[in-house]
Amino acid sequence: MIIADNIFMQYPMPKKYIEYITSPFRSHKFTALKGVSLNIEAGDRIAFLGTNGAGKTTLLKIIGGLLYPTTGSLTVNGHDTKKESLKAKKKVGFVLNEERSFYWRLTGRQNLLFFASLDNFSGDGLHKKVDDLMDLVGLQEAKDKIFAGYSSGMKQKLAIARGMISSPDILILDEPTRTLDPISADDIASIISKRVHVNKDRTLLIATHSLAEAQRLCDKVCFMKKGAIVDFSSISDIIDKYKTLENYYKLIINSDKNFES
Amino acid sequence: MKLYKLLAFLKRDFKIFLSYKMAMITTTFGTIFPLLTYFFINKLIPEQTQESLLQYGGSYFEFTLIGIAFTTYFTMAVQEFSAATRRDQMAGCLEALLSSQTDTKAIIFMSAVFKFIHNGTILIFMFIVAILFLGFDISSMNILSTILALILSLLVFVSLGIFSAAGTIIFKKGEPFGILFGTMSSLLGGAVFPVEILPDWLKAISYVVPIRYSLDALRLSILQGYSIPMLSNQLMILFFSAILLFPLSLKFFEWAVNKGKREGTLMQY
Repeated sequence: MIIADNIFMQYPMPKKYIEYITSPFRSHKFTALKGVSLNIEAGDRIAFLGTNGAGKTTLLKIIGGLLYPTTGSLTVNGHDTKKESLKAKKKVGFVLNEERSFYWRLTGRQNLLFFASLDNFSGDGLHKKVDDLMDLVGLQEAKDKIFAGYSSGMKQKLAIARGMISSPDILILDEPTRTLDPISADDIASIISKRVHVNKDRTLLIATHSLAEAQRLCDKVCFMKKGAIVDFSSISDIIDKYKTLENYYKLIINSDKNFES
Repeated sequence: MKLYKLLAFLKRDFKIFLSYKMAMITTTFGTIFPLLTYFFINKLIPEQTQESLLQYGGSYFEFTLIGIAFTTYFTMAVQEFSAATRRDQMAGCLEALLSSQTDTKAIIFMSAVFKFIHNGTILIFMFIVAILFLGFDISSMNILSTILALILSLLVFVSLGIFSAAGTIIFKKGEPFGILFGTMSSLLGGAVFPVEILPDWLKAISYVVPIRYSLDALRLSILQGYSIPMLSNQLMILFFSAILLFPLSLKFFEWAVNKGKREGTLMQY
């Protein structure tokens, strides 16, 4: 269970050289999240939608413990992500969208062995875990290939395998198909829906720009705009009301006020 | 910190190191050339003529080899934590490391261990070459005091290294500690000449440069066989520097990581 309470996140902005003289004590800040409160139940599958810069990735990184909110608090299964960082992270898997988040001169298997060790696996358990994960994402045949030789789809599969190391209760995927062609994107979506989400208590949080992916993988939508959550609805309600996710998306994007579906 | 995690870091870094074959050859064998350079410079300086060298046995080559070899090693100790942090930032792996279930401080520490072992091996290789082929004499060496001087020095320079890594997280580039250390140690630390020949005002500054005491203790224990009580001044200064700097550096690093996470700048470089 995830509870976010009135989260604000501000990033410092670089100053111009002249401002170090004219206003040395004034700092510029960009507010990425504005008073976000959220309650996510175990087993929820939520698509975070919104334009670039809406605050989706920032919110997911706070849930994953990679960022601390400027003010407000966030607990994962009762553990504060800032004060009890390691306990909170224990049941959270983070699938980064960054292809460069692996060691390019190591094989896929060597990469996974390394990251699984950091997640407290050792000895025979470590090797079994890594082999199981390679099977899970369909990389068994390419496990001994150097990571630099992987295709984008294979890299993303390895990122999912890494996110699954601790068999997390909560799996966060930040734009998992962003750089993929339609066939590879479909492959990744199949892995997520058929193999990753076999545990119905597992919470899936997916930031995505693909409405088809959101509809296929999730049952709820958290719509973010300019750092705030403007709507949180079930996809079935949205479809009942607006026929398609696309209609709903356009309506929110074009609306100036806070939106309620 | 768990041993299997440390082994995972060592395996990772060793495999990556082996994959850069040319770098492996050049970093190992490149150490022989400075060694030979100082060996031949020594031929220009007749033994027993420099009064300031006499307390270390009189040989400029032996004096400089210890100075250069250990200054290089300690400089690595100061710079490696920030270098490892920056390598992972630039490789895009820092975020993946920090989202794991391993403490941030442990990650930074374990990321640097391979380099300590690798450079330590090079240091030993340099001394073996010097002993076997260049007449470097260790017959008087006091092993216990040498090891103690080395451990205390490492604690001091590891602390400065952790300060430096915190500096990298805050300033990204141009962190002050490593740069200050690198430039000051050869001038004020007595790496290639005894600090006794410096003018008084520079000599006064050299008293606050910890490498001065490290090199002094190492030279006297290796070349003259000084025991622990005979090196008590140098060792006490290193000991108190270590117990002051080490906890402070960890606190400062933790503060820098929290600041980076609060401001979202941890992954920026």
